[in-house]
Amino acid sequence: MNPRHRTAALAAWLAARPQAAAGLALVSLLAAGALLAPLLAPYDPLALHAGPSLAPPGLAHWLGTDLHGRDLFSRLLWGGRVSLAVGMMSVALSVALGCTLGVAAGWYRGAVERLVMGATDLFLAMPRLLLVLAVLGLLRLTGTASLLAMVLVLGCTGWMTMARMVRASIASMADGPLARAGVALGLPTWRILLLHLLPQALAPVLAHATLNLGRVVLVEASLSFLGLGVPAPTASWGATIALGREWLHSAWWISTFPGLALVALVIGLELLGGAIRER
Amino acid sequence: MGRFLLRRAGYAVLLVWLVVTVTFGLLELTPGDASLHFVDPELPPARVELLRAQWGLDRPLPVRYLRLLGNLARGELGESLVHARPVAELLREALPPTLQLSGLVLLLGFGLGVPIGVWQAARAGTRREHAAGMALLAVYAMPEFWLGMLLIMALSGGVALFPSSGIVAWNHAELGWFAATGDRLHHLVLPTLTLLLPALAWVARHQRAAMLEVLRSDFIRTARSLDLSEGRVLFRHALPTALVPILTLAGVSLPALVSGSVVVETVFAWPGMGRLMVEAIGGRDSPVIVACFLVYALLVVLGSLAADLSAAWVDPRLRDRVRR
Repeated sequence: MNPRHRTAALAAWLAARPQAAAGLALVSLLAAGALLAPLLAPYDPLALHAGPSLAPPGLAHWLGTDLHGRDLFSRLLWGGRVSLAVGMMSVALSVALGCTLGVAAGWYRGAVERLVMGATDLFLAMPRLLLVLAVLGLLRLTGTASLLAMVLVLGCTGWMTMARMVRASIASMADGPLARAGVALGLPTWRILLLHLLPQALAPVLAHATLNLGRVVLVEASLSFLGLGVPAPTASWGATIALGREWLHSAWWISTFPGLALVALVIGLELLGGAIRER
Repeated sequence: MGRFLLRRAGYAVLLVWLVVTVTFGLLELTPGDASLHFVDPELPPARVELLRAQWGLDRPLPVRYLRLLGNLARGELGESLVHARPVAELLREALPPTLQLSGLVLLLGFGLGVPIGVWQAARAGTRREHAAGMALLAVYAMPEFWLGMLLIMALSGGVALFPSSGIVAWNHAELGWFAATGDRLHHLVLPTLTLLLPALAWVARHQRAAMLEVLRSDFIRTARSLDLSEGRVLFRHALPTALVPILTLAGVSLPALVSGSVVVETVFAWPGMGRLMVEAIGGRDSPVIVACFLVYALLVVLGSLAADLSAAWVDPRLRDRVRR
């Protein structure tokens, strides 16, 4: 399709769904804030004494400052980078795992299918938050905790539903005209699967991935809140909320705004993902 | 019924074994062991070796693994390295507060979420339902620890309506039975609300979707064409069918609640499983970590068993699966 037609189709799709448009706007706004943080942030997010200690929101510091006088608006913008980067990388890993395992199970059947579905059931029974907590907590003790570890664990515990979806639609197409035409034309199996069958199965996966991104961002924030997320001076929403815990009754602004940013991001993703699922 | 239970028991053993193995593997894969954390670094190496021998850390890996499985099979959970007390005793203290909290949330979450979802489905498309849906979505999107802090700010600030931490007041032991029960309930309010609101939104969303799907089906169209009252169509015909997937949801949500309470217990200083686990991980208290995961796996097994049995109880078509 011509790119201009594609943009027009997207615009028409959004125009018919005000909720999806609102969701996309929210997500784009927050993503743009995170992406352009170096340009937009009025202060260095790590600079101590950028302003007075515990200053309430005002003209100089839009969202106030924390105990060390760090500018909270700048920290909000930079913190969005952590949430979105961790979320998007781990969801990408989940999608890749889910599609690979789902395609394998749906196409090859038999032992492969039983193995994959058994693994799916067992992984679904594993407590995601507890598992991530244990891995990161133990790594932290040895000083090797990292963003990469968090992405790997979150990614490896989020593929199950997508694998089920992909398996079901690949299995339903495996004897269909599309697959048989591919075989008759002598196409290699990977081409049939990757270029012809998988794209047909992707729409629900995309919807699920969008919704899942919101949950993963919340898990990341919970981990940072418990002190297991990104290391201390780096700005992240969950860690800033945790910081404000001691000042709930005197400096409400510290915890309130990063929480609102989280809520806005998750609402945006929910609206968008819901609309994609309904199509 | 016998074969069904036998199969479920086999599945339960497999799951518990897997969870224990994964936990053991995690503890092994991370460098270092308990002797790094609990032993005075000034201690002579010979003494450290003695302690490691006492904890069984000097044995080869397969021996330690098999010994762990053997002990668990005999119901021996071992002794906590941090608290120097039997793990079973710690669990006996930590499990009731968590079950109390999650049980209450489960009960209220489904008790209120189901009617809300049914109401939403019956009024789908109206402006009021739309507004309610957006409000529920906002609640659903809130991180629990943040919601808990907002509630503390609002209800435990200047005018302290509810206590913001702990399970009982400091003078709990001196209170009479009546006042003591009131004190417990008073402390339960904020943690329960914090876990309840997102759970409620989640249940209502699933109930609404299930109900809308049923309302589109042929037998409902038939019922309506027979001129049955809308109330009868909704509650006598649509609701029982739409409840089957929700019952399954209730079964799987108990373990989800227990792991979700980890964060909430930290916010409210609630002395339950979540805090026990976070502390155990922080101190690398391996017997306690293994025991926490074990409890969690058992909850998963019991929850899914309860879900299957109750679904069979409501839906006659599923009964054959259980009977065989």
